[in-house]
Amino acid sequence: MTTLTSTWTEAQGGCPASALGQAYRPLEHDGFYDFIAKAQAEEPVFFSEAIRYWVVTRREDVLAVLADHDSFSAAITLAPVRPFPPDFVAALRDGGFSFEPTLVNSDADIHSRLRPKAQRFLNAKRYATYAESIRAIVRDHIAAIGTAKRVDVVAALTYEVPAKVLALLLGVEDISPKQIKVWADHRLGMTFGALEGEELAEAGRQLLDYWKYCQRLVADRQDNPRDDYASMLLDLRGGDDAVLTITDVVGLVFGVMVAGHETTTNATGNLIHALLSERDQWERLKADPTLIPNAVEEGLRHSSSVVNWRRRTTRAVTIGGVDIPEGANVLISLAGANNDPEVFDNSRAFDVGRANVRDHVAFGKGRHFCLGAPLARLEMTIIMEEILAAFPDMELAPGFHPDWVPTVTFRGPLTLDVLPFGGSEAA
Amino acid sequence: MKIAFLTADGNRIEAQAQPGASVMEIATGAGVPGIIGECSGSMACGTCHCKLTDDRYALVGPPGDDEAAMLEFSDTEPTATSRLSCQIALTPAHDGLIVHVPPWA
Repeated sequence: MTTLTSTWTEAQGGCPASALGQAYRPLEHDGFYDFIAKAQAEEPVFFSEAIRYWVVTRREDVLAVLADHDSFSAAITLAPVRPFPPDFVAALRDGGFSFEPTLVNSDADIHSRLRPKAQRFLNAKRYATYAESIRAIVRDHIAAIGTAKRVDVVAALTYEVPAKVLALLLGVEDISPKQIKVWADHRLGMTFGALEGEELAEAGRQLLDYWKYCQRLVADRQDNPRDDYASMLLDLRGGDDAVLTITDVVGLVFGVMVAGHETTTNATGNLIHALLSERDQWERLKADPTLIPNAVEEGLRHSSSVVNWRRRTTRAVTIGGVDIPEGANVLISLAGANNDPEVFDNSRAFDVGRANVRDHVAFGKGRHFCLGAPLARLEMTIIMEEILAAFPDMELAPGFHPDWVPTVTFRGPLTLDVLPFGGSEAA
Repeated sequence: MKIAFLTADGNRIEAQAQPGASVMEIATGAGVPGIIGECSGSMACGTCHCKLTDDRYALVGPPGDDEAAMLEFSDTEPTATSRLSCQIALTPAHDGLIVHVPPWA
């Protein structure tokens, strides 16, 4: 049975440890896309002994996995890539944390109960009502950059804006974006990274801290309903546990943080990095800002912030001609699908006018399709509009090379040093 | 059988269709702009919103509850004859269906 605490030691059947599988370094991001291209050409489905996952890299195979909810369970989605020690799990349970499945890691019955409720709030029409507030937040951050000659765009803009937008959705004013960042960082590190020892213990404390914050928030909205996500879920619940339990509501509120924060931060950082790295594309956007929505899609395709997602087989399957046993872990390369040369010509070129860009799967596909996709698109579009207007001559800082978020699943620059007003040649 | 899509910029795109396929599948197969179908027919994205003429809507029928909710939340305002095209399973009776693609005036 799948647990939410371990994926590491499951039997995987006879696993051929190919040379390519041996060479796979899931936590390293330098050479990331070169490796995917090599895998797609030589061994598009391979087994990684390092994480004990089957890795699927071609778009056609990725779509087949995402479409087949019966053969591929989502229950593994939030399980730690490396297993938690038993005493760590016990400490989280003792602290009141729920390992009950929520939206992203539930299968048919639970998912079909939760998703329609969440969707009543998390939808394009609702998001559109936040557009002007989001623009005001972005403009505040741009104003704070002022006349700085050099700035880290992640610290100055892309980290805090999505956190503040989440605060809008959750209707909270008593929490700093930096606190959300701390919680989210630890949550991601413990689930998708490789934390150990005191780092893991600290992540556990932060996880409980955020869980308890969400519990308090939900308890408050039971007494003082507002126009926000938790209040709407409680209203739909109508006091009926068969509709939603309080733990369901806390879990849905809790889940929004990671789902809507780091993903958008990384996607926006990747987009700006790619545009500044291919100057002619930046200039095309400047000349024709109507291309911004398409450029956002190209950013999501070219440099997805969610590069891998996970499923577990519920039966023996064959993917891309490779037999995979029941109970096996599958790592779906969304980055691979989005750079499949069969679908995207010259895929590593960033093309703001790419015609078939919406064929990307950066937000997944099928019934788990990202509920926050319209919000991410809205935030990224507004950020690009405002950046291009305020800093049309922005350049990457000379010699800057990004370090990447150290997880298997997410990819984005930890810092992004730019010259807002250009001038690298004069420097 | 054939169905036709009328796009926002006034183009008419005709496509061969097979009974059993959804209108969304025919549209994405034919590259109709404005019908995206990101969730592959799971009623989870609202990116295959379309509208039908009154007589065709009567033939196809109204949306179910979950579909109606998703239509309400899509970024194009739904009309009285809106459907998610992924939820329209084609039958031979739908031959000649005309599907309007958003945005519409």
